[in-house]
Amino acid sequence: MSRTKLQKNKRIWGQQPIYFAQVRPAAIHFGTFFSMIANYKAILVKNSHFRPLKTIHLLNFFVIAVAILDSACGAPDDTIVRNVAVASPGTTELYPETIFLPPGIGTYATGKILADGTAETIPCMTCHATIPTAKTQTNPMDPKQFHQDISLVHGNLECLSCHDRENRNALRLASGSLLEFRETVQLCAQCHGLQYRDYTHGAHGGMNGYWDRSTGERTKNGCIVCHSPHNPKIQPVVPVLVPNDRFLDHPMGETTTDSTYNGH
Amino acid sequence: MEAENKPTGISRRTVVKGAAATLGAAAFARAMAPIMNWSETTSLDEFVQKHYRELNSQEMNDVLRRLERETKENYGADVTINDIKPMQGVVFGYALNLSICIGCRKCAEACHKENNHDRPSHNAYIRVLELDQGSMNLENANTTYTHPVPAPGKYYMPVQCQQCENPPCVNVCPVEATWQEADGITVVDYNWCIGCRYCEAACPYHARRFNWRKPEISATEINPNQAYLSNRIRPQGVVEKCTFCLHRTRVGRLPACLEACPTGARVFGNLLDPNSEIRWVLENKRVFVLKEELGTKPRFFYFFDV
Amino acid sequence: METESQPVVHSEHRINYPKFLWRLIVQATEGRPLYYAWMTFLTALALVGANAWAQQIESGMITTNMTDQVSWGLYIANFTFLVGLAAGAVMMVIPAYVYRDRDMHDVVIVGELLAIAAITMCLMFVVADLGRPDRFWHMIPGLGRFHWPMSMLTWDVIVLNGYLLLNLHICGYLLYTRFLNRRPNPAWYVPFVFLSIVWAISIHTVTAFLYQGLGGRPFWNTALLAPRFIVSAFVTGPAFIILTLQILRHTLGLQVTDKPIATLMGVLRITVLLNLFMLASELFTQFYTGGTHVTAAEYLFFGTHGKNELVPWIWSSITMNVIAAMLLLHPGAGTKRWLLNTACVLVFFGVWIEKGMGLIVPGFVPSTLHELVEYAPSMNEWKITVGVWAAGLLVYTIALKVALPVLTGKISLSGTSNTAAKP
Repeated sequence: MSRTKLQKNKRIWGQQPIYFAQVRPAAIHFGTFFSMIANYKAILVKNSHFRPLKTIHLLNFFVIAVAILDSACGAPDDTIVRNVAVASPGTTELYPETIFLPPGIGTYATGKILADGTAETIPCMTCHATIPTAKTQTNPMDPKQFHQDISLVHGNLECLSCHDRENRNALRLASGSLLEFRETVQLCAQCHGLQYRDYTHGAHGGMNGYWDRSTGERTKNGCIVCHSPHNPKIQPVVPVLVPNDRFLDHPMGETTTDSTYNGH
Repeated sequence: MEAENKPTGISRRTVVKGAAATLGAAAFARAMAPIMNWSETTSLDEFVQKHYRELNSQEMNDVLRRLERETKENYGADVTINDIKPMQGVVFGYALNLSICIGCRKCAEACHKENNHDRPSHNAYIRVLELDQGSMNLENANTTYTHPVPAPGKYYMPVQCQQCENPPCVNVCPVEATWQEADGITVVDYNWCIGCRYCEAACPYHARRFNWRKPEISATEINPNQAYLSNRIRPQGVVEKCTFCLHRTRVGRLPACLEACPTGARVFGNLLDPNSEIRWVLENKRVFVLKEELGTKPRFFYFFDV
Repeated sequence: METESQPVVHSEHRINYPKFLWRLIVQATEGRPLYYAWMTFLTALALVGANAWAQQIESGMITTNMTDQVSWGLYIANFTFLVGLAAGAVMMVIPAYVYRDRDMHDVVIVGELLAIAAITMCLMFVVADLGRPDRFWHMIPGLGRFHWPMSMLTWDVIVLNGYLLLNLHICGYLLYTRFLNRRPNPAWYVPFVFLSIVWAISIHTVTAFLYQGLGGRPFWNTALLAPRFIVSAFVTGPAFIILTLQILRHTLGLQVTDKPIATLMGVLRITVLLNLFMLASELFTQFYTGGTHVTAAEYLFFGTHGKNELVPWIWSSITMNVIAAMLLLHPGAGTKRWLLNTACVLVFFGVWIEKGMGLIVPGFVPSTLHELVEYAPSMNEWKITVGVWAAGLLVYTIALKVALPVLTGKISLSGTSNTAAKP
């Protein structure tokens, strides 16, 4: 379905000459008043900068002829220099795409606030270097002293599915090779291939900045910005900006911020 | 009876008629007095302003500076209003992943702020429909839900201007106040619209909004980055619509609703660029458009994962 | 003063035509106390409407109860109805000129004047509905940008103004020649009369096309809409003219034979039934098919999801139309005037609802995203509506007041004094 749509779109989104080649035989063929209207409409839609003459509606062929001439000469509006310069996409030089991750990733927040107002964080190995790791710590629900805030609800994973047993400053891929915390997207991608595929094509995860990377850079959210790695299911949120149209039924308790607005 | 005292009767009658006419004229002037208050807010320059596509660059410049001045006078905010032309070789398309939209209305909120919408009405160009899973019957949609989302058994469908390739709203406008630009965006010249609202009746997607009164927005909340055809504060009595944030997208930036989306359900880009994200979605996802049977050919696509 | 028998040379019109106009103005401002009272009453209502409109301009259309969901309301409802009334007025012309009914010739002008008044009201309602009436010049071809032929609204502007001009010409020409006591030259009006018959059909067809061409509004998107419009026009037009003729008989002492009224009643008997039949056909299609597209009709007739603002309106309309149809079919309708008059009043209001609130508003309920927002006109909308009707009746009254004495020869160039012509 999408394929046929795309082919159709390709043709329609194509350049003007193709379009006029389509219109002209149709006009000659029917030559009726209503085909004239249809053509005229199509011209307005396709060639939106084409400025129709006031008397042009009288003759079918005149319409087509003027349109062709007009497009051949270049539409008048294109020559007008406006306030903002027109950028054109497709230049080879592309601005970078960075992945946004929460600050402090791969460190432990002690809970202290430093003099500059930021939270104190320490590398994981600060503690784990001296704490012996049980050979099989499979129960994630049983952290003895630290990490009480973590409840692992992520399939049937264990702590060591992602964390490295020896080097707690790093993550561990299924292949056994270590991975920096900042490269967590690669780790998630091991299992969530479809999401990763969408993500790499800009169809999952959200972004900020420029759609046109020849003009500016872009920041994409890393997986853990939205999904907690220990409990990745999106938690319910309270929706914002409830419609406040006049006479539209509002849910109980919803108040209008302006009494005059509903006051007629 | 009048015929009998005709000589005096006529003169008396004339006097009475004259008095009645004077009284009538005075009453009429009194009745129409509110219009005088209103006309003070509308400048002669605005009244005689030409259609957007007939303004040359100098005239356009004068209009933009006048509008900036008027925004300062009426709303107390310093804003910059630009006229931004379409980019060459670009036709915008939008796609939305219904599987991951959670219905939080963050997009609508971003639209509300970005486009300087009237504050009390919570106006935005996006309506988010809450639908029952297993059905696409809009009949059962809810747009004013306040419970936490996503709610069990529901899915969410944000609807905004579909930037149709064959827009019924453009066809019906009697004064060409709305048209489709080269990049596929249907725009409105807010200074040309006569406010007949025929386009609102013609649009199958509830994409258009009318300014039932002068929009209310405080100076501090005004987004100063404005364009003539998009987010400048609209006058009373004209129709407005989503422009895919052309003041952002025509300089390469992403639309505000996309940036606000917390799940990345929204995909935006250039349909003419085969390497764009939007093209990837069209080629790799099973997309559909809303009310396809109407032949409007939307450039806004929906898809589900899987 | 000119002799009637001699042909008036062209240049003499420069003197005679202003004389003609002046005599009409004098005639319009003379009358019995009842006339003055009626005119004062209408003027007062029109001024209330003007004031309400001025407030609407100042405060914006927030003074109406229209919304982005129901974006047209009482104004467009009345507009639609009045286009029908204007078109229906041509029902006087068809028997007179197409079927060469001599009796109709005498009263045909009543229909044409009604058309003029109705179109005037139409134009006023359209202006009342505009958010920016100060920009009306954007629609003037050459000056603004007239989106013809794509926009059906531009077609409507053309046909409505064309119809107004046609009728002004026909009435003006016939009255002026009568004023000069000359036989009207058929070349100067008969082609226009036939054109106006076709044109009358066109104004209501184009108005129906305004709505029925919108794919996003299933309630309107039906091929039966234009035929329904025409039929209902041929209900309201004759009904209103019958009532006018009855009133004129009493107030102006107009000599009307029973023949024109009988002819019009004959038309009415058929069109009332046809109108109900088409409505039934439409409803069958909607309800038997079911699905989501029936929601608007369901809302209109029965209410849906607890919303039922329009239910009383439409059932009143149906009741009035059905009772009127039964009264008209009653054998006594031909002789008992009160029966006929009641039927005409009922059918007039019945169609007013059916083609106004009962047609325009449900087109918007549910909205295109199926939001159920109801609409009931605001006080300001009612004021403007009453004001426009008052202004229209003002035009109609004045037109009849000046036209009938000219037609009956009471006012003419050869000089009966205007006091004698006073009714």
